[in-house]
This record gives sequence, structure tokens and C-alpha cells, in this order.
Amino acid sequence: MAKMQTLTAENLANHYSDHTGSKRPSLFPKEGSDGPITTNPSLRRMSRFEGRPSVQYGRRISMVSRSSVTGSSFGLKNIGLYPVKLQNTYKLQPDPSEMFKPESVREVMQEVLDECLGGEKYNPLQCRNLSQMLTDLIKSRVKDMGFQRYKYIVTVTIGQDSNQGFRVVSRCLWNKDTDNYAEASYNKNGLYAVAAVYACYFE
Amino acid sequence: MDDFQAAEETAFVVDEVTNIIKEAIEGAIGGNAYQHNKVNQWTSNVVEQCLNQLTKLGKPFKYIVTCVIMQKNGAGLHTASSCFWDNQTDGSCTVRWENKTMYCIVSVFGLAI
Repeated sequence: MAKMQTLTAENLANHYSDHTGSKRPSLFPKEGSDGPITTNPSLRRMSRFEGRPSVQYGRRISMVSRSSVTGSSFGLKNIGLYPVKLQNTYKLQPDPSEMFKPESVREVMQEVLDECLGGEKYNPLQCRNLSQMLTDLIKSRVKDMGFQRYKYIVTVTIGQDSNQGFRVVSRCLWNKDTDNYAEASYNKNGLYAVAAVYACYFE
Repeated sequence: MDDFQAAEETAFVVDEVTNIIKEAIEGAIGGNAYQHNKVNQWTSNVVEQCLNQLTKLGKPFKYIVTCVIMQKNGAGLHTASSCFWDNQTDGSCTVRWENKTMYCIVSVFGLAI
């Protein structure tokens, strides 16, 4: 075995003087390019494989092992190579457990509104940012609730309460069995807010 | 080419929707001044009219139409929206309209089926 390995190393050295900088030819040598080795091809290849870690082949092996350890890069590589095949679900509507639940969403929205607006007074600049922040916050909170395959639209309207008339109305064209909405409102200290979440099941 | 045409026919075209909204507002409110007891009817008419015209486009969308009417008296108003959807297919359109006595803000969201 030892002899064989030295032979291999020698051979590689020879080989590399012939084909500089190319890895491929050493694996599948051209006829007559490497004289010293006289064993049959399969045995020769095996011995080379064992000899890899000492020479430049080590790089390829370590790459494979590293990616298999971290997992993430291995997974990415896998996706690129083999498209992931998913089985049919034969689902035409969401599971009852994954349906959008307006009551619990309303609670979450009310909580967010009370938390963020509690004690605030109307301030044009602040409310401008606040309305955008609230939509994002409510959206992420609703996404965290884990209703599958839903698209969300969150709207928040914040205004100054100075006894003016104000009305918010919405109407939707959708599938009433799967799609739904939730709304919450807040009114304190001369500041009011109306928030609504619309959830559409994506078929 | 066929693909392109098909995409055009089934896409959410903002200009088209903007015109629909503007017509709906003009039709429902027109030159009226703010009247508390009429607001209910106006808002309903606006969203109803918008949805009617949107369905007539015959595109594969679910639509959400919201309308806000506020009396003008110097009070501030901020409205924001945030969506979790497919940017490629879905779209939204908001129109702000006002006359001497009120503001009207209409938003349409279209979600591709």
C-alpha cells in the first residue's frame, strides 16, 4: 500500500509537470501520459483516491464535507442541482385550523393600537411615521399568527379629533368562505385611529 | 408576444383603476358640500360604483375598496397601508380627492387569484 502511494505521488508530480494547473486530466489520464504506473486502471484510480488528502485533491473533499456540516450551503447547492419536487396537496380550501380568525386578530390589533398610541397626543410629523409603523407592526404580528397561504392588506388611518365628521367604509369582492377582515379603533386625547386587516386566501 | 398580451390583460393597471375611482367619486359626491346625514350614502355609493366598474374589467382579481370621507375643519389625517402579497401580480391604487368642505380618500387593492 505504501509503495502504491509513493508511486501515486510520483506520478502526480510527473503529471503536473506535463499538465500544469489542470485538475481533470490527472483523474482521467491520457494514454501514455503517465509511464511509471503499470497497474490496472481501476486499482490505480483507487490508490489515487486514497492519496488525495495529501495533494491538491484535498480541496475538493474538504469542500464537500464542509458544506455537509453547515447544511445551509449544502441545501442551497442541492436546490440548484435538483429542483425540489413537491407532492400535490389536493387542497381546495384552508384547513379549519389555518383559517383567518377575525376575533383573535382584532384582539392583537387592539393591543398594538393601545400600546403604541396610549398617552400620545396628535402631532402631524409623529403621526405620519406612526401610521406607517403601525401598519408594518400589525402586518408582522398577523403574519406571526401563522395563517397559511393568506395575503394581507393592512390599513391604518390616524387623525386629529376636533369634532369633525369622519367615516371609513370598505367593500370587498372576494370569496366569503375563506377571506375575511378584522378591524380595531382607538380614540383618546384628541387622537383617533382606525386599523383594518384584510386577509385573502391565495389559492 | 402572446404571453405579453396575456400579461397585459390580467395585470392590475393602475391608470385604469385611477380613472374608475375618480369617476366614482365625481358621480357620487360631485359638487356637494359636506352633509353629515349624506356621508353614509356617499361612501357606500363610491365603493359600490368602484367595485361595479372593477368587476366589469373582467380580470382575475379579488378587490378590496376602502373609502374615507372627512369633513374639513383643519384637523390632520394620515393614512398608511402595508401589504403582504405577490409584488408581481398584485397592485394598489389610491386617489385623494377634495372639495371645499371635505376630503375623500379611496384605495383599491387588487389581489390576483
